[in-house]
Amino acid sequence: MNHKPFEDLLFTSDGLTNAERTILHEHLDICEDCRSLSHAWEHVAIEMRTSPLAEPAPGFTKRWQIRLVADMARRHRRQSLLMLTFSILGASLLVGALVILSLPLAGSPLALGMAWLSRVSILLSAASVTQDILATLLKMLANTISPLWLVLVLGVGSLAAVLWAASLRVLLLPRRVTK
Amino acid sequence: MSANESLWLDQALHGDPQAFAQLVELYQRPVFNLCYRMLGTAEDAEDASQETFLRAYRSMRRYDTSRSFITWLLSIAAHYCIDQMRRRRYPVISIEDLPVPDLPDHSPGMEAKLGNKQERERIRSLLKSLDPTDRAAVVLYYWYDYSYDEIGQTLSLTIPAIKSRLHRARKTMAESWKENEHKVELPGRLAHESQTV
Repeated sequence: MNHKPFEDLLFTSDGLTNAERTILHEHLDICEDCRSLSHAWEHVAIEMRTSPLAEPAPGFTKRWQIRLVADMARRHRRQSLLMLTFSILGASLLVGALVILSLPLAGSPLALGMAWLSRVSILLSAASVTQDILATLLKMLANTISPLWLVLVLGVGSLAAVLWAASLRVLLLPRRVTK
Repeated sequence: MSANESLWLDQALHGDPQAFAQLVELYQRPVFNLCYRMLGTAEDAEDASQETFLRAYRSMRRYDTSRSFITWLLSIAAHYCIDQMRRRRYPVISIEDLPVPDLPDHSPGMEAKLGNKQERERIRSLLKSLDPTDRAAVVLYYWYDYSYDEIGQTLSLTIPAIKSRLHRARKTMAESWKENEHKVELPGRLAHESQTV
């Protein structure tokens, strides 16, 4: 005999109609195998439904808090290590690039030194020229614009800077979750 | 959801660990029970439930407030336990060879709360016969009275898949019970027979 249709009825998740229930009971009356399976299932269901929820040992939350602190410290250490690794990697790349760029000059250290000296002197003279230009501009401004306007412009500029810093802080805060 | 719970949830969403600790206190039992039924030992259940709360704390920003918080927690716990069982190949290990687990708390009330040792062993043996996902579906259905829809949400499965898994699990457990009952009856019968002989 094919027991599958009756087993399907026995373990169904959809509930039985009256007709299906009758068919199943009629079969259980004559089939020892299915009857014992049905009894076994009744025992299992009772066993599970009457079994209480297991509880953890007291102090679960305290242990979780300790674990959280340890976990955060471990993650922080891992992040620091990652940052250090990236920094070392970046520095190594820069040094490597520098070495490769300096290779042609490695044969003559004097030429290398002269080249660097020349670059430094160019930078210093550029800084001096920039300083002169800025000083001239400031003098011109002081002669053409009244001190009141200068104070007003500086005040508005400062206010804009404060507003910018405040909005940046608000935007960087964690997003509020609404329910 | 109570007003306190709602407040703790709101604060936890903003990264407050103290508020989250209150939620741990509130939900430790259902999470632990699921892990215990899934993994079978109190030690593993403790570890899995602690890990569940850690994962939940780290993922709070991804929590969808339109969903039930406990369903979300149980979903994390179930997936973690399924993953652990597959990784450690739990079904392959013969649990009968292991001693019946003792829970960390040995206070007199604890035994009563969990039923007796034989009952625990019977349930563990029944659940052991199931595939990890089927086991999770059975635990959520019989211990938490979850609907098929809630089980589907928790285990990321469709309702027909849940029904099919529960059907298969019921049959497996009934057969396992029948087999064990037969094993228990047999030595008794033999002892009786030896007396008569």
